[in-house]
Amino acid sequence: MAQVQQRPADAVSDEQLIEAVARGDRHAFETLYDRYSPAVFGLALKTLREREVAEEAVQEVFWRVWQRAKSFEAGRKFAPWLFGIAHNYCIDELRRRRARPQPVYEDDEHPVLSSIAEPSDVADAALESEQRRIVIGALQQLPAEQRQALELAYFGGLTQQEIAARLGNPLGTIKTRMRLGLQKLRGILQGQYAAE
Amino acid sequence: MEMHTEHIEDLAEGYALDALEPGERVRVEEHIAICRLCKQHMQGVHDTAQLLAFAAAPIAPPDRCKLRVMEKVAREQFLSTPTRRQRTGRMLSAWATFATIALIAMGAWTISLQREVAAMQDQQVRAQGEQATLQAQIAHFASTETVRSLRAEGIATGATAKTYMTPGKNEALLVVRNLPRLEPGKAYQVWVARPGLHQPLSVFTANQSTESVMLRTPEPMDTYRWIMVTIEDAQGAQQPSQETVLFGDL
Repeated sequence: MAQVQQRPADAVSDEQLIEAVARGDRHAFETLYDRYSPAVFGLALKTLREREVAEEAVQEVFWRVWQRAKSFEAGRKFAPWLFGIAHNYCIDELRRRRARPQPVYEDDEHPVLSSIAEPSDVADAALESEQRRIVIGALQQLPAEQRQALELAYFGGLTQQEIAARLGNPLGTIKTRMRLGLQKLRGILQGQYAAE
Repeated sequence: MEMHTEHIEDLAEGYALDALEPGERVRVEEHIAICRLCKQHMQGVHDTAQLLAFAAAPIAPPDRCKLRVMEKVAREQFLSTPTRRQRTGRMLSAWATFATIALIAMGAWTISLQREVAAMQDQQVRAQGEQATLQAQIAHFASTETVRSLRAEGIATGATAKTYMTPGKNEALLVVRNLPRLEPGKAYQVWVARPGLHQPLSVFTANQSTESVMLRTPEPMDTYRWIMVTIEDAQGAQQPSQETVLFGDL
């Protein structure tokens, strides 16, 4: 599956950059920071809901990227790897602080559309916006209850059991919604990227 | 293999979203450690789940985040690179061992000790001379144009430090204010570095509110990229410890 849209041919790919980072190339690391720090900060803000804590998250996540670059497996995509690190950190921090989430979105029907900010760098922002458009478009195609289950887990840090309790649904129902939601999301994204 | 996949099939999405209970998580991790197919399956689910991050609105973090991360990375690189002097030191150490054994065999032990003592006395005399001219050097460096501030951290938070240097010269002056006193047996040590090299310099103690430390470098100061001060044993070190109290660019 092509998880991220290809950059212009003259641009160094994320995967080439992280390989350079593994060799100690700080300029490559800086380029990755410039490309992805707005996405990581956005994720941290949405999850942790405090600017200062989110700033710490960005620093810690990229520090882990620097430290773990050598463990990046060739053939994988960089963005999911990075977001995995970022998401783990944010959820751990959220749980550590015992700040159980408030409703993640103001608009439960179209939650991801409710907060849009301006990215920093124009070229990378354009690409990032495109990736965001694709992911949001894919999410909108999911049934509302599947989307809700995914978002409560991913951004809200709730476990399946907690989601079941909050929504008053059986645990099995929540597991099914998550499974079907991610399966459908994967199918949509594969189709979207293939069509690009 | 097929059976393994069935075992965690209902847990894959929850695991990818970090939404499992602790016991379930352990079960998945134990399983994918022994099942390649399930690991591949989990990776695909994980990669899809992580793209949800793009649904959060991207927001540029403040510049200070980047500065701190890049500084931390530079420092880590600085600390983890073996110094030229350290590499040379290892070779010299081997030679020293060999030479010592040879000297003992030749009955030259006493002569060697006498030479060492004489060398130390010479060094002490030179140090006293340096101390006598320090005030004049402070005045000289204060008139130079290149001044670099160092960032204080850890136990030195609240201290201020500046480096005065002249491009092309193999010397500089470090002026530090309000650096805390250290426990007996410990001292501050100055280092300069660039990628692939860090150079140990002066060792000093903070006995006064303002300390002026002369720095002499093998190469011109402006050929180095960073300067830092660490806490080391009183005799100094060839490899900087992790205990950095001042750090800055040159």
